[in-house]
Amino acid sequence: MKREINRVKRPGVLLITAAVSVAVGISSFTLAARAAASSDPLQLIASVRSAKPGAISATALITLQGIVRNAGDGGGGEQVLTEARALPTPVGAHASYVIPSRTGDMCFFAEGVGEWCGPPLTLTEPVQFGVEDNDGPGGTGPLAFGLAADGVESITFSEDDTLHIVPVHQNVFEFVGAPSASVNSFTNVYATFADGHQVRVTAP
Amino acid sequence: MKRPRMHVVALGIAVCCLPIVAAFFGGRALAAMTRGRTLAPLSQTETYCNVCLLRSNGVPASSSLRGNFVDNQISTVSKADLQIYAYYPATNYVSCSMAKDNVAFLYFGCLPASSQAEERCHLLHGTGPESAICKADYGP
Repeated sequence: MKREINRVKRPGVLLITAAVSVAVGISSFTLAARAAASSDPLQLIASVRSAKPGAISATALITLQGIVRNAGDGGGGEQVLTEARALPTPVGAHASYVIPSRTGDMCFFAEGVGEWCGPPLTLTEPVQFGVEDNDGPGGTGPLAFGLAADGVESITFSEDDTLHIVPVHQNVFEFVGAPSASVNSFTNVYATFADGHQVRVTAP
Repeated sequence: MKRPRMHVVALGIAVCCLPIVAAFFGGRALAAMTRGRTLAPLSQTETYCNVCLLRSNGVPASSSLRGNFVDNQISTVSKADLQIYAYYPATNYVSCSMAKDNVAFLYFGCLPASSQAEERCHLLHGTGPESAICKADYGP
């Protein structure tokens, strides 16, 4: 009789164990997904961590609102302007901002220069390196600029076979290239951390 | 006591009310602008690549030829190496060029030289093919 009872009970115990395991698995997955989704895209940018969200100039706000409206869904259209933070260091004398996006991306906007939205900085991709050239080859040289994660001290790159080392100030760097250079002249970009180790960076 | 004439009263009311009316309409104009809507359209948009497929061979999408572009932008579904620029077919010259790797959105507010130019967008470094939307504002 006892054996029969045990036989009847075992499937129940197994079912409960299986159900608990599935529930724990689902909960862990959900928590991990939530943690990934809610990770702060600005976490490696110390210079804006204490900056007031949304404190941007009126002209920058109007430009950004136009960009968001025009970009529509996805890409630049998902920027959360109320969370925009001003960087203490300008780019080419222009105020610059980092703006989180609902897509999980981070946007970098330099007033009067331009904007991009891409993956947030990480320790394996610690630099966002972009280049703009207003007047084309022969005029003012292209402006190489971008954001660097906390701990990156300098950016090293080749501009048409000439090596340059550019310091990072409060997560921002900029460099004006030779007049003959173009936006595609920059290669072999590396981020150098304070301890000397280097990470290769993607660059146009 | 002498009663003031009607036109003096009207003038007084007008003078008093003018700043209030001006402030009201000024406030409305400012509010409209800060909502991203200007009272009169200052520029128009040309979507020169509307969910078009940009190929990895770097062949660009091109806008029409105009002399008054003010900005250019590209959005892609996935991240890619992107470039936007203004191209002058008459001289084979490029300006207002901006490039960035591994992004899904790139915007450049830049005024090309007054001569006629096309705005263009393309992929770099063999990335893609990629579905994209490229737009350029022009005007007024």
